[in-house]
Formats: sequence, C-alpha cells, structure tokens
Amino acid sequence: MANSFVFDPNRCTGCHACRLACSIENDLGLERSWRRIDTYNRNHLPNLPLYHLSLACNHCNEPACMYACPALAYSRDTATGALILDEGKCLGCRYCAWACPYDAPVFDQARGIMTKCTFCNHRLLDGLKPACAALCPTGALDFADLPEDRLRQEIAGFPTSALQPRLQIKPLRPERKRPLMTAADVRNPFVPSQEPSGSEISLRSEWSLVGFTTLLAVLVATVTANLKGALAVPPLVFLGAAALKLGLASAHLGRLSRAYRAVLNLRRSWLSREVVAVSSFVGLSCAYLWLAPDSRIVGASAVLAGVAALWCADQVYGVLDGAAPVYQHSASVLWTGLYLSGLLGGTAWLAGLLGFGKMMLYVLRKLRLLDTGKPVRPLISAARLVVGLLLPLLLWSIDREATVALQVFFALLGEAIDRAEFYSELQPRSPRRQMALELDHQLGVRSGRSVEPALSGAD
Amino acid sequence: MNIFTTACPRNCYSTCAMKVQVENGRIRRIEPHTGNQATPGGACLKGLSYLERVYSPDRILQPLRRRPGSGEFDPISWNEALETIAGKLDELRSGPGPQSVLYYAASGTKGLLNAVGMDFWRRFGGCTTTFGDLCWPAGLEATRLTLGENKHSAPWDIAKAKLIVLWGKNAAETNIHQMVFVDQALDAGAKLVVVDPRRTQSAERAALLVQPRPGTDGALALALARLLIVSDRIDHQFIRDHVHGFEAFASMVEVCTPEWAADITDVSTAFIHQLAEHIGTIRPVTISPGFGMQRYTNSGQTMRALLALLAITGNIGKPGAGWVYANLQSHIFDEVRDPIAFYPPERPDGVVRISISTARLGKDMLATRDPELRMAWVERGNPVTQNPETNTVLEAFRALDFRVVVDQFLTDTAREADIVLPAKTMFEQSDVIGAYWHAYIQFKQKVIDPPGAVKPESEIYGLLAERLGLPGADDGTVFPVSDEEVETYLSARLSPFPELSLERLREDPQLAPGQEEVAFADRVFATPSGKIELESEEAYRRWGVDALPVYTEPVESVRGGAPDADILPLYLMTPNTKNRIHSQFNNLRMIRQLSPRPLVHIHPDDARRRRIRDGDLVRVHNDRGELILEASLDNGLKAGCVSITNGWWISEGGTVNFCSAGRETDMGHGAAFHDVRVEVRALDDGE
Repeated sequence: MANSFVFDPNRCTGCHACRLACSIENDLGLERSWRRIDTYNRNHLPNLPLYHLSLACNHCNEPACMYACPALAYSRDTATGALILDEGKCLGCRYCAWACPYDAPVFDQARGIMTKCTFCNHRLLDGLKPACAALCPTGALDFADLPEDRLRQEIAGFPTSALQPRLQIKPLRPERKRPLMTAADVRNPFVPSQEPSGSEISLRSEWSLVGFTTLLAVLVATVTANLKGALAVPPLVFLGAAALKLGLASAHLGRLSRAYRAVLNLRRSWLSREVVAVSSFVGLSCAYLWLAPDSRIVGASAVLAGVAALWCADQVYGVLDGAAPVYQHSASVLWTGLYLSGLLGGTAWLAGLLGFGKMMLYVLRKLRLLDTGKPVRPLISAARLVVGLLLPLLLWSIDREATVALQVFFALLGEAIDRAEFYSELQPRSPRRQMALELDHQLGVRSGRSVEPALSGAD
Repeated sequence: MNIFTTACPRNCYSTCAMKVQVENGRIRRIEPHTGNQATPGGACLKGLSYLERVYSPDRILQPLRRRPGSGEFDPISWNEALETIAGKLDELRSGPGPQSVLYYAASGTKGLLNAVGMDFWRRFGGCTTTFGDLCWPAGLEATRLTLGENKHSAPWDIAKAKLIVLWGKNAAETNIHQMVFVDQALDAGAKLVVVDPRRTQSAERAALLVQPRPGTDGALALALARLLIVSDRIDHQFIRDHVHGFEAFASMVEVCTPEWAADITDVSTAFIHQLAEHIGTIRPVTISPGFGMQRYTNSGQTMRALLALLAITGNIGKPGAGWVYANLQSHIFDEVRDPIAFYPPERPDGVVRISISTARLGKDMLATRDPELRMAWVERGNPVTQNPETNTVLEAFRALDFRVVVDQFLTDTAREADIVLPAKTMFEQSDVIGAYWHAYIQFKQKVIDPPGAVKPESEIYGLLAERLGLPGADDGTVFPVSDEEVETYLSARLSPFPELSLERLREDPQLAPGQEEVAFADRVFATPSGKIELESEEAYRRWGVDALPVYTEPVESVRGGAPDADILPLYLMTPNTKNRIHSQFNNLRMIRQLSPRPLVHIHPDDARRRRIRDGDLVRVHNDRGELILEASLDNGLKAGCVSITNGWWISEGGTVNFCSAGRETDMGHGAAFHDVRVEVRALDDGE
C-alpha cells in the first residue's frame, strides 16, 4: 500500500483546475505549474476518442530521476511516500528531466534549478489530499492509499515504463472509444502535423554538449596517439582544450557553484561516473604529458581512463527511456574516440574498421528513419558520409603522414554533424509525444499505411 | 488563518459554495465547501483564478476620468468623480428629465444588494431602463407556458436517469458540476445522448452525438414525437391525466416524418429512428437543454417541442425524469419571478421607463425620444462586448453626452466611459444569493476589505444621493455602507424565512424553503388548464405564435426564409467556454495561458474550399461587421458551421457580436443573437 494519484479519464473534462490549484498551493506564480494536461486527439478526428491526461510527478517506486541525479538531490519521505527534490542541492544539470518519461521535473530558468511536484507533502502531513486532487471539481483526479496491484495505467498514450509510477489510470468506458456521431463524414480530415514533443532535450539547448562530447573524443585520441608515438601533444595545448571542454560541460549547468555535487551519486548515476572518469582522464593525461612523458604506465592509465570516460559519456544517454542503445549509433562518443585515435595514431585497422562500421550504422539508421516517415536531410547525410568518412580514408591512401591534419579536420566535421543529428533525433518519451505516436499509429492502421507499432502496450 | 464560507455570485449554473482561507488580510486559498451538495468538488478554474483577479495589477482601484477625445484615463478623487456625476445628473433632471438617463445593469454579479441601484434611480425621479434579457427568456417562457413555472428536480436527481439528453448543452464546460451527476448515472448504466452541431467536451461521454443544422432542433423534436406516437411508445394514462392539447399536437405532427426532419436538420433518418427508440424505450428520461439553442428567432417554439417529448412519454414529476432547464426555487425574494419580472409593464408607472429591448439595445437607444437618451450608467455589465450588434451599441453609446461605467477592469464598455468607478469583488461586501440550477440560498460573505479606494455600489449610490439631496441619503437601511448596515439590510430581506438566518447561512448554504427534490411530483401545473399545455392559447395571445409548437425556419437560415438576397453560407455559433463567464476572467493570465487568442473553428471541408489552412488568419464577416482571427480546423464540427467562443474583448481580438443581429426571440423578449450567418475568407484571398 502506498499513496498514489488516481486519474479517471472518463471524468476529466480538461478544465485545468488541477493545474491552477498546483500553481496557487505551491506559490509557483500565475502561469507555472507542476501539473500538465495533455489531450489526445484534440482536433476531433472521427471514430477516435478525445481524452485528457493530467500528470504531475508520479512519485515512482523506482524513480529514474533519483537514480540519475548526480547530486543526490532527491530523497523519499518514508512517511508519505513523497519523492522530494531538495532545491538547495540541485545543480541544475537537468539530467533528471531526461530520465523521467513523464516530464515531471520542471526547470526554473530564473533560479537555474529543477523544481518538482512534492505530492503536496505539507498537506499530506496535515492529513489533506494534494491540492490538485482536492480541487478537481469532477473527481477525475483523486488521491488514495492503494495496493501495488491496483496501480495500472490502462490507457493508450501513457508512456509505459518499469518505474512503477504511483498512479492509477482507469480504463476508458467502451462507448467512449469509438464515439458515434451523425456528422462523422469528413472528406478531407485535418490531421495535425506531429505535435511538439514537449521533451526537455533539443539540439538548440544542447549545442554545448555537442562540443563537449566531440572534444572529449579528440582529447582521448590525441593522448592515445601520443602514447603510440605518432604525435607529440604540447601539454599547454592539451590543458587549454581540456579547460574548454570542461567549460562546455558546465555551460549546461544552472548552478555552477554547486558543480562539486556532480560526483556524489557514483553508485547509480552515469553522470557522476562520467564526471569522475573525465576528471581522471584529464588529471592522468596532464601528469603523463607534463610530468612523466616517458612513463608508459601513466600514459596507458590516461588512455584507459579516457576510454572509460568515452564509455560513460555514451552510457549517460541510456537513461533516455525508449532510446536505442547508444553503441548502435554512429555518433557514439566511444566510436568517435576510437576512429580519431586510429587516424591520429596511424592505426590502419582501427581507422578502417571504425570508418566502415560508422558508415554502416549511419546508413542503416537513416534508412530506418526514412521507413518511419521521419524527415531525412539527404545533403547533410551526404556531407557526413563523404566529408567525415570517405575523404579522410581517401587522403590516408594518398599520403597518410602529410595529410593527417586534414584527415582529422574532415573527420571532425563529419563527427560534429553526426553528433548534432544525434541530439536532434533524440526523442525522449513524454506523455505528449506518446499521444502523438499513438494517434499516428491509429491513423496508420486505418489508412493501411505501415507504421512503427505504438510503444504503449495498453489499449 | 481565518476560514470563511462564501459563494460565487457569477451568472453560472453552478453558483459554487467555497471556503476561503485568509492569511494576514489576504486570500490564500479557495477550497471546496461540501455544504452545497450540488458543488461538493469545489470551484472551477475560474473560481480558483479569483486569487489573481482580486489582486490583479490591472484592477481599477480608484475613479478614472477619460481625457476628452482620447482613450487614455487619468485617476481622479472620489470627490471629483461624484461632483462631476452629480452635476451632470442634476442638469439632466432639471433639463430633459430623469428619463434621459439610461440605467443599464446586467448579470455580472448576483445579490440582493443589487436592488439598491433601482432604489436610487426611483428616488432620483426615474430613469430609462431595459426589458428582456440576453440569456434565457425564450426557454423560460416556453417552460412557463408548458409546465406553468420554471423549476426542476434537485441537481443530483439526474444521477437516477437512465437516458440523459444534453440538448444543446455543453455541461462539461458550462455546468461542470452537473457532469458529476451525469457520470454517476453513466456508472449506473445510463445512456447519454448529446445534441449539438459541435463535438463538445460533453459529447465525448455520449453514446450518440446528434449534430443538427443550427436552429432546427424543433423539427428534430417534432419528428421524434411523431415516431413515438406512431409506434405507440407514449404514456396514455399520463397524457389523459396531465396533458392538455395532445390530440391537436398529434395531428399537427402527422406530417413531421423522419424524412421531413432529415431534410431540415441534416440528420439522417436512421439516427432519428435510433434516438426515438432510445426515448421510447428507456425510462426515466431527463432532458437538460442549454441556453444557446434558445437564442434563435424560432426558439421558444423549439423549446416547447422538446418539452412535448417528455410530456407524451410521462417523463415529468418522477425521479430521474424531467426538464432540467432553469430552477428558480431559490428565487424566494422575487415578488414576480422571471420571465414575467423582466417583461415591460402593462401599465408603465411614469417614473421608470422600461422601454428598451435588451436584445436591440443599440437600435432602441438610438431611436428613443421624449426625452432622448443623454447619459448612461452601466454596472455589472459589458454591453459593448456582450449585446448583439456591437457596432450599433458602440454608435448608441458614443451618441450620448455622458457615460458612467462601474467595473473592476477596463472592459470594452468601460473604455467608452467618461467616468469609470472602481467596483468591488465578491469578497469585499457581503450579500445573499440564490441560484438557478440548485436551490440553495447562500451567504456571499465579505472576507477582505476593498483594496485601494474601491467602494461598493451601495455606498456609491448613498454618496450620490447625498450630493443630489435625495430622501434617505444617510439611511443605512436604504444605502447600507458599514458591514453592520449591510447585514441589517440582508437580515431584513431574510426575515420572512426563519430557517434562513444569517447565522445559519454564515456556516452553510441552506436549501430554499419548500424546495422540491423531484419537481412536479404533485402533478400540479400552474397553467390555465392546470395541465401540461402542448397547446397554449397564451402563446398565441401574448406572442402571436401558433398555439402548437409548429416548426418554422430560423430567420437567418441557409435554406431560405432569409430576407437578404445574397445568402451567406456559414452558420456562426458563439458558445460559452469553461474559461470565462461571458466576458469575465479572460483578462487574467491564469486563464489566458490556456487560450491565448480567439480562434474560429471551421470544418476541414469548408476550409479547403476557401483555401484556408490551420492557423491562417481569416476574416469572418457579414453586413453587420467583421472579425479577423486565426482559423482552427475542427474535424468534429458540423460542416457548414463555424464556431467562435463568445466573450473575447475587442482589445483581445474582437467580440463575436460584431456579426450578431439585434433581434428578439419569438417569445420572452430574449436575444436571438445566435441566429447568424457569415462568410469566412482567408485574409490574403484578395477579397
């Protein structure tokens, strides 16, 4: 048994009283709220139901946000079950929002930190229901102490996950699923283009991460090449580049003064692990390049730490619920690091294998996108393949030694394109996106068009 | 922290009870009050948004004067405002006479203290005022003619219905608390039918959504009646005992075949048969009609036709059955109840001239002579936005010498004023209110002091009376000012009803004495025949319509009967939304975040024909006016209809009444401003 939200889509009219109640109770201002209402089929396509989902934090039993948070800012109030975000500990990295498929954490731009539904813990401690549930005029949103087996979300469009959300969504009444209308003939129905995903991640806000991850791969490659003797890296240049890289990484933080907290959750958070691995790599590399350029052991340790950092940098994206494993992606930071290592170090088999492998992964990915009707930009794709993969190998075959700088330059261009595409193609799950996918799926079924199956299992 | 019981005085079905928490003289929370069994879930989003409304930086907190020839206002003192107004009133009283002043009060705030206004004008020597009502007269009159009075069963009785027909009503948005009881009925296996050209939020719960051409509901009802009679699914005993005029009605509907109705309503005969099957075989049936449907030129007769369905099937006076239109059982303070109360008097008293039809406000103001109108005093209303034919209303107000508007915000009407006086909110003066859906009497309790220089109207009138030397100016029982005087005033009105003391009301809403849980359970109908009248002599005598609810086309019908030669092809629907009560609340950020700009909803097929895409700017127009707004393609709307929610201010994108017509309904002196045709063009269409 545990405290849970109970939502009945049959009763919800989409009135938004819950949203306002949340703003008022928690003093969030007139327009900000921790509760959001998403609508399925808002353009009234015939023969499909229209319903709303009112969601805030579900205070999951397996909270992805808490596990992901590098700063240990999340904790559970064991008395009420509320999952609490301590705003005093948040460093504003937004990683919890990536991890949450329900878009529950809300970034406060002015304060540079995340904020989140508290279950109205102060009210629970007083024996009151959360304000949103207490003020729902129709009783669609409620709050109850429910056993585990009642926590089902039987509605299409709700992102399913293994997080065990403390939320019960009642199934739609049968007569709602296919409403019978006398004026249902629309010769040319209006189908809205894909609605905005509502996701917390987009290329525009993640440009600094494109720079950070690409630069990390370059640095690891240079140290590897140095160790192999193919390249002599001036320590000051390395240090400068490392500083730039750290700058790019921290540009992402809302509260730089709390950056030290980023290493606190080594036990569960890939972000903490990445921070530690990257720091070790930079430290060991400096020691190697500056203090012990002749020590193979220090150099090898630096390279190992570098590979670990690349590995962690990839794993960070594993929290994105529903995303494909990142090692299947041509823009994986690890693959980029190894590819560049091959070029810089003159390791033909490594450069060749990675170059070919990346090409295959890239083409396969684009074909899959084409197949699902997603936009593919052929010119950009051609540039990525020709400039980033074919040109370096061509230059290598002409004169490796003389053209190595050019090879790396072109390879980096290609990697940067791929990495930028990686961020822009990331579509972390959110209720709004899930609903759009479900609608797409229903329309596809009806028109006989083949589409990817809806991710939601229910309904 | 102090907690007060109060209630929302808006012109809204729900009239919710609330508990208001006040911290350090400031409202902190508004919580549900379960003492009102009709609204136990608490206020709607508008009720919650009072937290913004009361403390809005846009609120008017002191008197304003408009700079001559400009739209700008300057703050002035109460003394200057009152001197200016009193000077003008004095001049008009001794010149053209007191009837050159128009007193226009609408439904913005309910309460017994509203009577102070007319008390003032009588002491002043008179005024000119309006008759009729924008809201609900045709339905009230149709119900009065048919059932004898306007009352219905308690709101929760609909939970016992097995068939619910929300006919032209979108309760999910306009009476959200009714949906709680509808849901209870559905949980118990009831069936919901919605009749509406739009696929509304309420329709999402329905087993069947019937989408007739606007204004043709009467034809649909008559065809259903014929099918019920032909298939003998009527209640013979009930008809014999309680229905007057059945034979005449039955022979009138003989020609109203499903094919006839399908042709008129554009609803296929199969669906008409299906709906008749539901009404004929399921018991009990509740029909809850909306107000929008009775704002057509033929709508009194429409409402009588709908009522006939319940009468011939015996669905009146029984639990779970009935006609849930208007419940005036809490209107115990009125000597004469609506609609009679707002009809022009048969014998004018020579003091208050009740000569202007609310429906034709602009035209009638301009046409008024002996004396002509020179000044207007507007309170609790925003006629520029909300009355039909905005351009004519604007012309009429601008033709006056002097305008005073009392309001909380600079509405479209306030912007036309010479002097704007700040109005209290519901939290700043106590009052007693009734309702028209449930039958609770509620104490709308004062919980905070008025902010700034705000004065309640009762005090404003007292101060003006003093300056004009009117009798009773300093009498607290006439113009109550202090909290004690207000409570004494209210207690005097409550004194005939010992069960309704202020002490009891202070804690809990109280049901009006004698309210009937199941209306008409005693089968007493206050009609001339003492029965439910399908045939009404009074309908013919008073309104000149057929004594039977014969179907006629609405005036602005695409099918013909239209007076204009070039027929505009689209029906303009102007429904209410959950986000507003008419033109109130829309200026609040809490509300506007949900609906930032006005949209015209249009069917994709109609849009494609006009090369309009979703999001395009379009011009909605007819010969009365135009609106420019964004198109939103709506697959659920009936083709041939466009829909814009009413209540948008001109400054926010324009009121729908630029296109509506100032006409009365066929009965009741209502406004037939839903009887509107328009054309819609893409802005870049070169037209």
